Amino acid sequence: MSRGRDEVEVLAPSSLREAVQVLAEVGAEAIPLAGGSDLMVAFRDVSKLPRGFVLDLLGLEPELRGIELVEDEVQIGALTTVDDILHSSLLAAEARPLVEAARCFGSTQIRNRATIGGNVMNGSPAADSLPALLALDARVTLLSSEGPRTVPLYSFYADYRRPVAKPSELLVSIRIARAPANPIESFRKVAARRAQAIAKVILAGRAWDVRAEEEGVRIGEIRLAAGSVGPTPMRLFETERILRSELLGPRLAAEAVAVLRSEITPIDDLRSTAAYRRLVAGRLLEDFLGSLLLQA
Amino acid sequence: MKVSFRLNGETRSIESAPLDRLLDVLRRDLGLTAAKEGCGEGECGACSVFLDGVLVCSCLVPMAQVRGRSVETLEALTRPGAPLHPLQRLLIETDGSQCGFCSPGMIMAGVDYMRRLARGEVEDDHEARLRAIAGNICRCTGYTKIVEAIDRAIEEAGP
Ligand SMILES: Cc1cc2nc3c(=O)[nH]c(=O)nc-3n(C[C@H](O)[C@H](O)[C@H](O)COP(=O)(O)OP(=O)(O)OC[C@H]3O[C@@H](n4cnc5c(N)ncnc54)[C@H](O)[C@@H]3O)c2cc1C
Ligand code: FES
Ligand code: FES
Repeated sequence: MSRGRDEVEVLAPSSLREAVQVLAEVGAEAIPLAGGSDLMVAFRDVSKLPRGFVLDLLGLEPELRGIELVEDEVQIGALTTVDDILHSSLLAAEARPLVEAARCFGSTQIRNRATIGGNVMNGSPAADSLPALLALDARVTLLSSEGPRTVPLYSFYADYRRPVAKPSELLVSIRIARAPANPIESFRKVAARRAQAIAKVILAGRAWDVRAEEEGVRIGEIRLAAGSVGPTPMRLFETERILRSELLGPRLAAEAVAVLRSEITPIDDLRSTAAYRRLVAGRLLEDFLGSLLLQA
Repeated sequence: MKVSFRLNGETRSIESAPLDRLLDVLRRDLGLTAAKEGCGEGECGACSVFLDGVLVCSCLVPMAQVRGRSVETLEALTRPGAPLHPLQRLLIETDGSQCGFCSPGMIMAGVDYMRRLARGEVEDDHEARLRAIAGNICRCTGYTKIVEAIDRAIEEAGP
């Protein structure tokens, strides 16, 4: 017989040190809880309740909530809410695609509670923040009682909703690259409605060092990432490589769109079809490349 | 566990399981039935309340996270016998409340918008008003009348 919700104990550590100590002891028996916008829905099914404890992280807000410049990166604490991101002037200047992701995220009620750490750890391929973070070279820092380690976000998901973090580790922060000079950026989410909807396709991009030359536009650096088009959010390395290889014009744009469509691995599900997702992901890339040609 | 918190300005201390939902405690244990359960999954907004002044879905808040904090429900904005809250009255006048199930949550979302407007945190335009109630589902009105009620409440409140 499963346990009822009444029987689950919640531990509320008041420091990060204490939290990782608890995890070192009970590890796989505990589930960390942040804003609860995924977990409280999951817990409606009693089979999803932890065998041991729920570890309430909100007591760690003084340590883990906030956005600041650290050297040449922007550090976002795991308990930073999506609403904090939406209203951050630092991120508005340094990480526009992430702010755009926050804008179309859930509703006011959800943005007020949902944390960026929860979005990363829940690891849905449709999560809004993840393509933006991937396009901004995000790295995540995990902490256990043995110490911290940092993993690039592009290698953080082993498979569908399977982050490589161990049960003894907490996500403490996410670091992203600051905006380069004159970035050209985009975050586009296609969904059934503009708010409170799960994405059918997401495409995020950042390009810089983009120069117009006689025969076309030279893309110095580009990052592209997509969501809802495979088992995990995807950095589009192949598509990026093609776009850096030659001058951008109609021929290279068409080639990049073809590469993108073969690089992604979308499926048919209740929200959309693989064919639609391929079509739309390609169109979103065309749009972004169009803006590169215009702004170069 | 014993959970102490502020509820509509008063200190309360109640016995509850740590994962009990705030929504259930309000409705079942405290008899405050303005917040409604539509979906139980954060989608419909019928259960909206303020937690430390921030609008949340009470169906997604476990009591363990209410401890020591302050909860404000629609009951704090309007009392039996007292004049209606302006948004309440305007929802009636505009026919923005039909079956009424979504109305408590809509009023909370509308009040949240008006408070954030007063603090200069949101735009003062139609788009922002639509965004403000995007987390609240209404099966009856088609939303136009609800937005009209919010528009008029802002007009009445003046600059
Ligand atoms: C109505 C509704 C609308 C939504 N809309 C969107 C949307 O538009 N876009 C979108 O991307 N998502 C959306 N979501 C999903 C959800 O809100 C997000 O995934 C959110 O970011 C989760 O954060 P949380 O703090 O609520 O996480 P929680 O539910 O508290 O936790 C989520 C997972 O992360 C783990 N976890 C959390 N923090 C840590 C940490 N610091 N270290 C280790 N593990 C941790 C938890 O154990 C759990 O497995 C929506 C959810 C609902 C209910
Ligand atoms: S009942 Fe809480 S959002 Fe629907
Ligand atoms: S008035 Fe019936 S749901 Fe809105």
